[in-house]
Amino acid sequence: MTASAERPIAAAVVEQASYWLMLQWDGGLNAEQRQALQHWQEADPEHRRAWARLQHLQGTLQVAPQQTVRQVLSRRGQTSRRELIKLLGLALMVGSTGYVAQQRLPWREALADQRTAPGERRQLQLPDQSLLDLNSDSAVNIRFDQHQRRIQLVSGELLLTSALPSVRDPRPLLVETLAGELEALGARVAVRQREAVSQLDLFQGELDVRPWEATPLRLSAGSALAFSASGPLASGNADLRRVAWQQGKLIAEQQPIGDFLAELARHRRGVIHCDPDVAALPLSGVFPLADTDRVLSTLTDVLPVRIHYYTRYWVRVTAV
Amino acid sequence: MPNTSQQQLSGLYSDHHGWLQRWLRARLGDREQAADIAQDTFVRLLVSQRLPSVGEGRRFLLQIARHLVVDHWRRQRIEQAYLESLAQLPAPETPSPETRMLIIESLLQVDAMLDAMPERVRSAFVMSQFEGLSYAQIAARLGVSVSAVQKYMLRAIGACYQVVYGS
Repeated sequence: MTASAERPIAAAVVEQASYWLMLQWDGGLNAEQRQALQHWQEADPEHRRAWARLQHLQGTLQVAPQQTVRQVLSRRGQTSRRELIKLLGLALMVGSTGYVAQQRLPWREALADQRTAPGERRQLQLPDQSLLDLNSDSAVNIRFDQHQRRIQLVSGELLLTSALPSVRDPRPLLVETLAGELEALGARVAVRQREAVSQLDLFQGELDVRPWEATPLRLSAGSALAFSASGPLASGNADLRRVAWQQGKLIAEQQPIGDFLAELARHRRGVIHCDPDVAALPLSGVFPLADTDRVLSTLTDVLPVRIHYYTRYWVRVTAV
Repeated sequence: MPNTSQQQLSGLYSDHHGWLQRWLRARLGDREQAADIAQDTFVRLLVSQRLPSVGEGRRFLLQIARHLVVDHWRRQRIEQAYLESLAQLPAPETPSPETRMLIIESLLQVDAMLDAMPERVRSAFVMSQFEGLSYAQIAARLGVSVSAVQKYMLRAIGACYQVVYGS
């Protein structure tokens, strides 16, 4: 750009040009106004330059389809606010507004004690020697006090291996989810939170499950349960394959590729979009989570699919 | 840059790079991005040609880093929202990579423009530009006169101009 194009324009001239643009935005100019604008532009090269700048500015507003702009802008502020709170190190006043209010606070996740980014997994040793594994993109609060050992699962998935009985601790070991509260009795249990549903796989020990608004029940080793605040939704057998992430793997057995990709997407940034006409293709195998790009490229060897990378963070899987 | 300030800068780097990167990592939860932004922070400092006085280094660097983190989130949020809105489109309608870059850049600008407007001005602007309402319709929705809407729109244009061209 030349120096003259960079040079500031007098505020008064910009204001005059803005007035024309303001009129134009309300259904366009009539013939008389158009002619007046023409004269104004011809009166001074600076006028012309100001008008050109506003035309350029208007171009920026029209690059994206209106619908896209609306969709994108409708999310303005949602995440930035909670991130800002965290960035500025502000404390939040969470008073006696109660449980329901607390679980809906959007910044709850950002203020969690421990969180993992997409693609990150972490193992923590708790003060009572229990082990807590966090899956990718998960967040927990750890609240140990003199009466209880409480772990709040804010989002994502955890695997809790409670300390061996030799470490006697009279305080109950509790896991709190959006759907209810669990009390672990010498347990090894996987808990995942999906929307309002909590899913459990109990591999060892026993577990008391107390949905927030329904009768408690006891789960024994080897069982799986999905429940919401209003009670059990489905039960089955505990499946070790669902915690293969703890070993850095993803295991599929005749799994529809659409479901597999949804799971894989949890382990990387961005979006994986699977076309509906290939989503039902069955997939089997053991896949390393360390390199999700490689997992994607492996798929093309075993299934009739093609992987399109639009950006590093946006992938689409289609039929060949 | 004279030699003394170069020494000052490398002193700043060795004193502050470590904690700055840890600070960023705690906020971003990502090692790579934290390293990138820590690097950018020092680059900004270098380009600004304004070195902090002794003892002010930490505060100075944090100020720059905070700005960069906010910019980073802004970009990430917009890219993510845009990709999600695209993912709903059938394949033949998705724009080319070049078009997408262009759209993301313009969305970032529009976002900055909206940030520069007071609440009511912003509502009027969005209704006019992205919902296609006339000033009379906007006036009715906001419960104000048409000439008040015209004033809002002038302020909106002023805010947009400021974002793109400075004062």
